Amino acid sequence: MKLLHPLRTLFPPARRALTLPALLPLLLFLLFFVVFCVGLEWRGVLRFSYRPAFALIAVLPWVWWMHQAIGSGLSRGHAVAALCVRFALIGGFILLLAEPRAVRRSDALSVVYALDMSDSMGEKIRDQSLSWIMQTVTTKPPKDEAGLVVFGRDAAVELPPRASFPFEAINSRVAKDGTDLGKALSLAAAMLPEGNEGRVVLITDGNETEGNVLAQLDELKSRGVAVDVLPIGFAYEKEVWIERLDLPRVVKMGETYEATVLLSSLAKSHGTLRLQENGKTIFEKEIEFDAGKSRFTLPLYLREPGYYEYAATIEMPPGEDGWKENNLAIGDIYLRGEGKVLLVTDARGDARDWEPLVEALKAAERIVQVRTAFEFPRDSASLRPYDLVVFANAPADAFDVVQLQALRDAVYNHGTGFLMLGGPQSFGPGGYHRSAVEEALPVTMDVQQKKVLPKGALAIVLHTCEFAEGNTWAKRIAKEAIRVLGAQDEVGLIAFDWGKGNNNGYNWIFPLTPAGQYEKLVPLINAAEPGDMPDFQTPMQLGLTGLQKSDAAMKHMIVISDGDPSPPTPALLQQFIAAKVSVSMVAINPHGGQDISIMQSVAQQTGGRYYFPQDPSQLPSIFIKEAKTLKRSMLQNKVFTPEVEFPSPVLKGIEQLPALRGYVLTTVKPRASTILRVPPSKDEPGQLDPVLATWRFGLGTTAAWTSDLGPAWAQDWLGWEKYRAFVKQLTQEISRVEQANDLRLITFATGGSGTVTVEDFAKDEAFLEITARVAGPRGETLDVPLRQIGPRRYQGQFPLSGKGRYQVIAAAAGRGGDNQIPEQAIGGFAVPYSPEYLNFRSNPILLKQIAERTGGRLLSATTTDIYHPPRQPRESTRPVFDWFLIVLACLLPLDVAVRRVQLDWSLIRGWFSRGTKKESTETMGALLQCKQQVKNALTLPRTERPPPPSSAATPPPLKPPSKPTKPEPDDAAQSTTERLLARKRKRKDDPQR
Amino acid sequence: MRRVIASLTAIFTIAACVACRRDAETAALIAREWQVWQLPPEGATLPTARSLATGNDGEIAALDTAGRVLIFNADGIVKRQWHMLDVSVGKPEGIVVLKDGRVVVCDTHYHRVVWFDAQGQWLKNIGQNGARDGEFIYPVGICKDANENLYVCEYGGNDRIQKFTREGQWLASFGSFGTGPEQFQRPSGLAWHDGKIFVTDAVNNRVLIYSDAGKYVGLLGASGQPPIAFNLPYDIAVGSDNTLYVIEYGAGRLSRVSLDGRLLGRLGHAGSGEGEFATPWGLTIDSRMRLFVADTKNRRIVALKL
Repeated sequence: MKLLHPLRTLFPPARRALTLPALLPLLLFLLFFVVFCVGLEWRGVLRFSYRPAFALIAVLPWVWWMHQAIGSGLSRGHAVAALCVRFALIGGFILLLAEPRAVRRSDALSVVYALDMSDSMGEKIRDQSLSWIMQTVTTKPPKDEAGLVVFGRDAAVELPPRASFPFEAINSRVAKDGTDLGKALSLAAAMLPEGNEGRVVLITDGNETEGNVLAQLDELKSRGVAVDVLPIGFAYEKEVWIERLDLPRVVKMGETYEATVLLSSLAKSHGTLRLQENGKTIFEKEIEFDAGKSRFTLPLYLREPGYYEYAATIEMPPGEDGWKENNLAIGDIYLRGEGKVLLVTDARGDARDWEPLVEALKAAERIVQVRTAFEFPRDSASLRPYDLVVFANAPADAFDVVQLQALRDAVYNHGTGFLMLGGPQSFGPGGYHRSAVEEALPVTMDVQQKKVLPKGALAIVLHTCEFAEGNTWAKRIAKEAIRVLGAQDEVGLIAFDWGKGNNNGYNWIFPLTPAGQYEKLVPLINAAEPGDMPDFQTPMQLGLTGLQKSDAAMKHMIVISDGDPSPPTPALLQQFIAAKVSVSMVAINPHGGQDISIMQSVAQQTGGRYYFPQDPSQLPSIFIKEAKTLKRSMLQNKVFTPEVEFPSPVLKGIEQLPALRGYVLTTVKPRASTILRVPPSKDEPGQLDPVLATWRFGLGTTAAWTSDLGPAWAQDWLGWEKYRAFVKQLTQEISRVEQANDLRLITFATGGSGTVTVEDFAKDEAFLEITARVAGPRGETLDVPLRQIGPRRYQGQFPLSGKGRYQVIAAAAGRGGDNQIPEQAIGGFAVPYSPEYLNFRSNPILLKQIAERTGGRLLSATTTDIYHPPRQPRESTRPVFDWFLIVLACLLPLDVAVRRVQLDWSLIRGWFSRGTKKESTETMGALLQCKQQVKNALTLPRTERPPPPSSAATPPPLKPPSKPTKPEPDDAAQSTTERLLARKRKRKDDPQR
Repeated sequence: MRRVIASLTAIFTIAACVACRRDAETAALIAREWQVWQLPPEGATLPTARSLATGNDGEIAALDTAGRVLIFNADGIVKRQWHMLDVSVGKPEGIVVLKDGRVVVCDTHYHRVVWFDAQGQWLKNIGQNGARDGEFIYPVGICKDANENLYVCEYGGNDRIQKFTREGQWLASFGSFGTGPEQFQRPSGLAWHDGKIFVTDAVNNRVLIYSDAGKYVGLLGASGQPPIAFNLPYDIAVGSDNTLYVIEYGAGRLSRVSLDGRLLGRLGHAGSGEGEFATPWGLTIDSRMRLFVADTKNRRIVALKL
């Protein structure tokens, strides 16, 4: 019996005989539910991801049984309605658990073209491929989508697949010195929308230099992405290339050596072999060679110490060679000598400003070379002959990014010393903020302490979509300009973005914002797509309004455009003049140079400048120069005597310092040492502006002298007897000190990898732990551990990342105890041309494999319709869980309401009919009467549950109990719970009852 | 209770009326037909149409960003095409077709108006860079009246309308640069109807009305109501249903306006799908009341029927 009890609780006996009509709601609902669910699936309206949830249908009979067994106390119709709602609730719950997904069916085709941009394709073939793409795109049915991915060593999305194909020009930049087909196909396939049938059209020569595309084909096949291939075929029968230029590893001044050129050719031929030393031809000879490898030796003679770069080239007669790019090999020799000082000046500067310094350096027994910024080397290896580089008031815009990076690398990797002197074109006013040089210096250009420093505000209007890669340039120059500004200076960008905003589509990409938030602004700049501006009026008005709200002391606007938007009104220009906001106009590609009058006029009237660069590459320096106009406030023209902040060998023997007449505001970095500082003023006692600060940066030492050492600010110093001693001690402190070691570093490239070999020539042999740090041409660094391959010989290899120069620093530990500074050897090599130029024929076999394994087609240049292959409508689903949840949430209160709420329909009818006040009163009277009857019944002892009322509106009078029960003692005093418990006990005692 | 129900009913009724009125003000037009015409590629580029004009025999003439004149038949097939004489400085932006088949083009960046015969043979130019009568600074839009007099609008600080005979003889000029009444900032499109010239004043976001003799009539808008607000209206055309259609470059939409200035409805918004436009530049209407929109950024010509 005990075992049956829980079963009886779950399935209590029916209170009345079951009939077919009572079973009908269950059967009908089950039928409906099954048909509904199967129908939804069959018609493709919904898909259920978790079908085991439908097993819960088994609950429905139990619910029905409980409903029949226990009863609801409702009228028959009401009870059926309640049961149906309960069924619906459970049905909805089952559907919810089955994870329904709405189905969308589409027969549209999405095609992503993947265009090989690598060097082996060549400009002409790329243009022909683009023409083919344009031809095929125009045959596209309107609903089909087309997109474009370009690739080389890496891949980028030029246009995502859309119904329209708004191709202007290729703006994406990919590394062209390699081909990674796998990466390209992976990106192209990822761009295909799930809801459409997708195809990738691969346009390439099939010469894969990176990755393994075959490994990805199965994944593409499983995703249903077919790859159609348009093979680009070529084959060179005659090809000549220089494999290597071998130079002597150890050289001495005044001796003769030989350089060896290793040349390869597919056929017997002849040509002119040249060898250039630092750009000057030192050897030229007509040579003949057979097919295969040929070796030629050329004489070398080194007259003085220094850095020598050699370039061997072979010039071939027309028709005798395929690629011309691979007819070059580069190598270098560094002949160590006495360290030099390189003084870098502005080409427009006055030599009298740095002559006293040059004299002082020469007096310090230093060899000094004075060069303009234009002549500054572009790679760090070329700076190896210099122990110290001094920037004497040379502005950042006189260099390019590569030059500044070379200096930074020379300091960090080669230990070259660096000193920046102050002046109107130095530090912040010189545009070095957030540059590679600032990274190397012991001071930042952000002036954080000087709260009263007047700030500037700059609004930039971008109309750059009308020249090739214009918007790419726009992003770059905007970042360059912001980079120059101080942290407190404000900057805002305005562009036309059709369909957005309330100003005819002109919007702030970001409103005037402190330039210190540079990192936050960069993503906004990168996401901007400036459109074709119809007029200057609206964006200039927008910019002026923003600038007028700013509390900046200096306000400036830069507009870059092709010059053909409608001009601003004279009234607006007057507003600019009244608000003292200057406008500089940069005309780029102004329709043949004709549409410049408007821009010239605006710049002239508002006191700005007008630029007409011939090439977009000039834009960064223009924007840096313009942004610098807001930085004049960082120049402090005042007389002061520097105070010693921290003792240093630089001040050895110096007790009194003469006065200086000005300096540039900077902020010392936390780890740097301030040797001299500006005395704090009474107004700002907490402000400590550095005059001389130094720190270690990588292997080198750098110093910031924020005043100058010439007649402008250091007039009193020039006649000072300790001037030369000061300069000597300063240069000694920061110049590189070369330490002889016993390591010899040999580096070279072979195929796709670089080799680093270190030979140990120490007197005492020891096992060394050597690690080579390799800095690649794209700024990447790699630590390569070297393993011993023979006595005193260590070697390691690393993968090349393309064309360019590789700097190698090998550090050896293990000799002379743990505290010994590791010995270092510096070297490197250059990869003169991309490995793409070592492909002399295309690879159609690979391309055929790609097409076959993915179910694609091999296309030809004459195929123009690629949009009509046999199609299979593609289904895509999205979860509709939320909608079912809402339905369930509505059913839940309805389920309760159906059982608990009794609607008086006569009352509702009464609301909408006239003269029913009496009926209403009668109804209320009936309700009150019912209430009284219920109350009376509750006061009576009950023996069994009363039968359900036949009608809610007219409840029958309660019947007296069929069998009088014995009144319980103190029944009135017992609570309801106590009464129920007592009744339960009684039932247990009498199970027959 | 009855009062409550009555009040609720009244509130709902009023709200519905207001909603209906608002809906009527900006009634959405529905395109019954929507066809897309593609322009042929030009080498490695895919040019896009800027200006459109209706020609004879159902032909549609288009100017594109490659500096080509393209003549489509009524089914969207390119029948003839030729290049402008010179395109290195800039591309043309206005076109009209005369009854005798000659094509007249505003060669915007060369500050001149060029005549071609129906086959694309160059016939003549008028004008040069200047502000005098018969000279131009950026001629950008052109239309003709019933007598085939030509009206050319220009911008670039000398914003005005010039009127010529069909052979290019100067007749009149009117309007000036500015934001005041009778002034323009980049008048970019114009249409003639029943003695009136309707000019889209793009930067001032309005449509100005002149008599074809050059007398200022007013702004396009219903009597007693403020002028209709547009978002960079670039072109305008009159349909055979005697209503005006304005294409808005900034908003990416087509507006239908009665001749007395009531806004009858609008179609589209910025986008690239069906019923959407991206920087639409030119508009023309053929005799079958098909509207052709140069949907510039989407690289397509849309032929639609309302």
